[in-house]
Amino acid sequence: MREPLLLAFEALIYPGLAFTLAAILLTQWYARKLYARMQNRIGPLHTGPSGLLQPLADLLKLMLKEDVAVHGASDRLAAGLLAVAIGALTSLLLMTPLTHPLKEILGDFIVIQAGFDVVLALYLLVWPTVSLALLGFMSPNPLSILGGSRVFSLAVAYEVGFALSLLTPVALSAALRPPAFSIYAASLASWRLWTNPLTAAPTALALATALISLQCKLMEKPFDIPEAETEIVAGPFTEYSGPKLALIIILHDVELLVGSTLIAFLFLGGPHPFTQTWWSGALTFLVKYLLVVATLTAIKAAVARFRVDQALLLFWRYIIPLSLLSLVAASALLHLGLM
Amino acid sequence: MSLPLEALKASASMFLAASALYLLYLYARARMPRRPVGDKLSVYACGESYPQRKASVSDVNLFTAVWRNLFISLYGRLREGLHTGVLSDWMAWMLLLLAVVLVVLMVGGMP
Repeated sequence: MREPLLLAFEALIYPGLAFTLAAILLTQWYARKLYARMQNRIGPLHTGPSGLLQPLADLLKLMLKEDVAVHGASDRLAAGLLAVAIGALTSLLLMTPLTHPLKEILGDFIVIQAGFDVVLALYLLVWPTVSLALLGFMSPNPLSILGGSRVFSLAVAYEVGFALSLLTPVALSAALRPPAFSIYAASLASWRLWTNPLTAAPTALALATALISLQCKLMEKPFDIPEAETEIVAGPFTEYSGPKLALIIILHDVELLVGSTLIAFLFLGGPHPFTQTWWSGALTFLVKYLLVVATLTAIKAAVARFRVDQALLLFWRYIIPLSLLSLVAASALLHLGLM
Repeated sequence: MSLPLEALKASASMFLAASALYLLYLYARARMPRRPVGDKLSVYACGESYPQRKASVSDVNLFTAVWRNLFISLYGRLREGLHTGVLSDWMAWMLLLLAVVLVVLMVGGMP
């Protein structure tokens, strides 16, 4: 009986839904403040200390507005699809060492880990992409449908790049800590990849391709092609407002949280090297997480939008071959026993 | 720690979080001040009302146009580079293909 209750607690409270909602509000405030400073603006200021509560105020405002569904559009199904995508991403957090602190509080914790569970993680990561594209197709507006088609066109490139990039540290860590090809085991062993020059090179290459693929997955500049406001208003989100728009914003921010968390654990070693006490480990992880978010925000502030064909060429010419190269190098190191 | 069991746990967690969020959405919807009516329910595109029968996009523009335009130049360049008509060139490409297959097998056969 204890295990289902613990799983429910983790899914709904920590590191599941409640923690995720709190974390995305803080992340959104941090990213907005940083983005504003990079553009010589102040950013959120008036709601709460230094505008800390502005993301919460924005979210509440949207949740309390009218829920408009135009003639011919799907109504509750769209919200259900968004809820499932957010659920998929929050359950992915149960595969990471974020579950560890529960041992201190409850004396026990559940972590989803098994050999080759990276396949499960990649499946869960595809949910937001599919949901956002279908959201466009569920609306009768031609601009929404075009936006949905752009999401699918880009997904064929960035999902491949992101998956290949994540596989590199997971494959390299397979020899360091069992079970093989597990997100949790790779998260705990990934810091050792930087201590060997042979493994550091493919890891660094995969880190760069993962960051660019995540930027495209988040539809942030220069890859905000599906919601290019000067061309197709807001793409798949054109006809959505109120609570559904709030869910879309939550999904985007959860994707940022989960993607950055995975990169901080799988590429940057999570809490290492300061694991002596729980707070030093947590602080180290937080710094790495904020660094990843800052890097993505800096890219967003520095570049202009690509055309859809330019983005696809970038991925198929450079990102996917480079991520494939890092994965082949990782496989060769594993087989030749050079780890 | 079997993969199907862990997938079941992930599905249960996904279901719980999605249900909680959907209930939150239904609660927000129930507290909505008024039901939207009139022009709010019509589709607008380019500043004008857009009838539903016109709101369809050709499937060619949706799915294949980008890929077709993108890969025509790539296909042309590949054809010029690969299709030389020299037998030893063909042999070299076949050996390269064999090497790729071996690498894929090596990766797929990892413990």
